[in-house]
Amino acid sequence: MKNFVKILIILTIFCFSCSKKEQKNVLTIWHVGSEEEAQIIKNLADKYFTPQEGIQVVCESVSWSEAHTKYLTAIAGEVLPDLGTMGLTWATEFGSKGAMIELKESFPEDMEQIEKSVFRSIWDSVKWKNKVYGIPFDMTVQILYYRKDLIPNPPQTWDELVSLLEHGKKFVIGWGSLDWIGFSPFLWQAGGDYYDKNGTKAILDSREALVALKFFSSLYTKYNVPRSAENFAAGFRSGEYPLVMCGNWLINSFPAEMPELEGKWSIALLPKGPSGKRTSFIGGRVIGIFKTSKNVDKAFKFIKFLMKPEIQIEIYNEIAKSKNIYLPPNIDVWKNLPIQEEFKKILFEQIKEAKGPPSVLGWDDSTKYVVESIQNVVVLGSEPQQELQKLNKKLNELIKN
Amino acid sequence: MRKKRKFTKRTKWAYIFIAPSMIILTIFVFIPVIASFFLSFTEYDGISPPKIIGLKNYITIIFKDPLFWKAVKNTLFYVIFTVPLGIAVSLLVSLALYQRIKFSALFRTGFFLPTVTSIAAVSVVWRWIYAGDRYGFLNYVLTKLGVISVIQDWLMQPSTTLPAIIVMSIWGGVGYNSIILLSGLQSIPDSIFEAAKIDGVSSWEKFWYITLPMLKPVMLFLVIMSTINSFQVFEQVYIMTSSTEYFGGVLYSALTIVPYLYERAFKRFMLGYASALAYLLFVIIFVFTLIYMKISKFYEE
Repeated sequence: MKNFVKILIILTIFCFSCSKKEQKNVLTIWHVGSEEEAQIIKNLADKYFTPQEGIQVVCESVSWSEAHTKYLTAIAGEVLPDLGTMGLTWATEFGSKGAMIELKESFPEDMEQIEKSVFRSIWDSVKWKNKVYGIPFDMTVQILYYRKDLIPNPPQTWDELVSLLEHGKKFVIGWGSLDWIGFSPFLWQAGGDYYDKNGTKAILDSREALVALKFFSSLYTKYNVPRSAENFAAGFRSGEYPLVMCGNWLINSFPAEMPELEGKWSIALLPKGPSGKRTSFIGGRVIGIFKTSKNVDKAFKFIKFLMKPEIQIEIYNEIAKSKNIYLPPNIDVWKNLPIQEEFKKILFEQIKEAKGPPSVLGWDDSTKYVVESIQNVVVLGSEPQQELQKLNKKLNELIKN
Repeated sequence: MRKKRKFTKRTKWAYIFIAPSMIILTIFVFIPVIASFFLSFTEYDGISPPKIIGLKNYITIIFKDPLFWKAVKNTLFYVIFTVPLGIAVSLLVSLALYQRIKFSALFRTGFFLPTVTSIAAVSVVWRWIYAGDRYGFLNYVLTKLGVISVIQDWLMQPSTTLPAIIVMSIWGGVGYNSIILLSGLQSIPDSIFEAAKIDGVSSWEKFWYITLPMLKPVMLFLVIMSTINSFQVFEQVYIMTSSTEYFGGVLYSALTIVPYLYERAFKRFMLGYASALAYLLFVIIFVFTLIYMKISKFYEE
């Protein structure tokens, strides 16, 4: 019996140890997103990158819902890919834990070039204490969708928006309803912000923040903006919700889903707030290199490869085939990007006037308090001023910079 | 006295046969259970090595964590409604199925379907059923029938979120519970019912004095199992109430213990804290099971 146990243990150890293979000449990428997108990246690499650099590229897709957990687990177990695409703020989060390569230090010249070519609005969100752990891979920006046949002129200011609402036109927040993503554009349009310029202290106790929160909550309580936006597409189709604030991802899917609306809808910039700004929320994915990678130089070459204008246009075309949209972070690419002119102009303008999540360590822990305060005001009718002061204190406590 | 167990040729094969499952259990259950017990006394983010902090996690959870108590309150509310209502509904269904009505097999399949469907998939469907505008199925039906005049945002208002999830969970549990109860019913010997018939017992008395007592062991099993399962409710809550930016419903109105634990462990990566939460949940479930056992013993005597 003793012998038997011994053999069993040895066998088990053997089974586990032989599965670990060292593959030198392969770049592994985890891509947060669909299988199709991963395939597109792989195909492009096979076509242009591998012949030149002589290195295989493997791209695996990870679904958004499990991606953050998967990365953290992989970091803990040190079973990471060479490269990974990820949520906008994750690279800083993982980087601050020491799991990612700081790119500015490792590739100073190239990074200077890249910084110049990328939209300012998104770059601000990937930079943390002058360090960069991930480079923007794509962008997602909030815009206003409207039914041209029902609302000939989209609202240009908050006042115009309110007057439309008072005339019975309904408005839906399709991305970020009742949470900070939906609230942020209003905060910025009012001239407020979460933190001061250097990210050292929270400034939600400002007058601007109060104006923003009051306006935001009045949308729900006074003007019947629905709290959940599960089926807003059906409402947009029927004309019940002729105004929708949502991410740019609907641009290519709307025409496919509702061909009968062709020519009856368009997009517009978000309305101006009291400060005269039309700031919207911008998100997206970044791509970064993990410390455990044995091919850091090749990995960075691949990032540069993905930043090339002709490659980004090809990614755009491929992704458009599956009725999705890819917005390249590279400003120069936009001239030749095959989006309808009407949409391109608006998107370009809105991206320039957009802001990403604050690049402050501690923000990720703070969002739930922001959400809680917003919901307290909208759902329970709490006093906005007190709520903001409480929230401001909490945010200050959580700053870790 | 028990005989001392020895390795013999015969038992050797028994051990060989249970070895694979024991190895798997050890790797995926026993070791993690023990490891998480130790982790519950540490601060551990999964990356830097765990730091021993004694009972601090437990103290913070019990005395300084309002979210934990919110989760406990919600979980108790959930258990108190889901378990008795769920079993009552299942009992009705199993009694109906026992009557050998027409298409009984069809009904049985229908009720059992949710059990074989992934609860995650079902939750996504129910999210749409409860969706908050007139395009939500429930709102559509209720307004058409004239039951409600104002459209409700079922999963976005604190007062209806948890009840909505309870209804869905009861529906999801009926299949399994009623099949178990049905087999309990079928195991009651016909001779007892025949004897009762001869004695002129009414059907209500038959149910109260014969069926129910005979079902007691099955019921106890179901009560314990569904209590444990209900305390651990996760998928429904997680899928139906979490957006990318918040979890557990508007103002945590449907936050229960396991989704909270999951959020701590795998979103915030507070593994020590989450382990302590898991052990507190274990204690709660353990106490409830003990109470059930005591109650059922009391009735037996």
